[in-house]
Amino acid sequence: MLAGVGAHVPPSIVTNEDLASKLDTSDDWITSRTGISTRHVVEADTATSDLAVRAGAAAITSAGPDSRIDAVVLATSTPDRRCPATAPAVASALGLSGVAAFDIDAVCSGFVYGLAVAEGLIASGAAQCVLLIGADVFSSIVDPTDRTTAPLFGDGAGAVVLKAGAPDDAGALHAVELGSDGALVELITVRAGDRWFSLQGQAVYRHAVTRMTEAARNVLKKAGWSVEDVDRFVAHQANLRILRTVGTELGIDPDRVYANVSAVGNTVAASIPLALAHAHEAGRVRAGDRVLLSAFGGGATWGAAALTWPDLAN
Amino acid sequence: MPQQEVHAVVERFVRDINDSEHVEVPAAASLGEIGLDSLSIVDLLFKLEREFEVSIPDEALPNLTTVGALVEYVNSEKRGDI
Repeated sequence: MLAGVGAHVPPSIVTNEDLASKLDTSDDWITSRTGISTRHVVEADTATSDLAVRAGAAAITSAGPDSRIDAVVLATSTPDRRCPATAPAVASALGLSGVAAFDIDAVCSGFVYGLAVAEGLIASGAAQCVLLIGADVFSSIVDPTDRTTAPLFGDGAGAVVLKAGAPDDAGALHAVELGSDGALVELITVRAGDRWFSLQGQAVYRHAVTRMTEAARNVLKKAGWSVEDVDRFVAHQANLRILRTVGTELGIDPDRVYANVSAVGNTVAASIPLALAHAHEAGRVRAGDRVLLSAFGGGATWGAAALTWPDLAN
Repeated sequence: MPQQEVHAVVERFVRDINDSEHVEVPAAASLGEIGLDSLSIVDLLFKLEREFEVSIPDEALPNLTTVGALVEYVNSEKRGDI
């Protein structure tokens, strides 16, 4: 079950006007196609681990002093180093040297994959209390002169604490659904030898809507929930149009679709936990709310999860 | 199914997107010319797939650049079903 949530975004903000002053684009163009107004970006000396540590610390505080973390799972596709994984350094920086720590990479679906991994660690007895962090610094791989990708991404981190619980506990993770299709590898990628990330926007939009809708339907079925049971839909924040279209395809009331993409852009693996943290802070998810998550990312990968929101002190 | 029915759905979609009843949607027009950006084109594909219960695969998309080609494709897929 979920027992804590936290997030961190770097202080520096890039507005659409800032981008329009450097690229052949405009606030109107970016807003109408993406719904994004601002995004946070790191300074040159800040890495994924720095954001992950801040978000992880916030989630641990949220979970309270009884939560003794014994595993750290970091979902990221922009690790500090190509080898080794970033999670051990994050764990040590959090004062957790000695615990299990590793990265997983499912790009924008990484956090949903991480929920299943964390649940598996607990179910197997390998861990009692898992810190799951989604963190990415896509500004390190997105070409700042490419008007088609530069406006889309922001840097950030979000984290949750998971521990063993009963199915009727507030915070229970009821079901997870995961999938992938390697034939779509070219849609979202940094090709071998390339410095910059590339994205086939139109195809991504189409596959994202299709797969996020399908995964959400499947996870609802696994959880035994109807669409009407969903109090809050917190999907991967790639683009406001994807969120709205998936919501419409699923038949979810637009008021129940949470979006913070306008303020933070696509923060990749951080996207869903960052949205959960922001929704929690804003009172848009409350203890006992039935929350549906859905994501699509590079690979291609996709996933969805059904959970109830925990009763958090912080 | 008459081709006009598919064309009418496309026309309705294009007029809603442009927020105008006066937009002409000739068969020869490219999808870009009638005010559809790349994501709106996908929204139109979703709508056609749903309303006419057809599947428009990725491989077909490069040839479906005009209103007429798209309408004809949906119509032929629908005929194939019967």
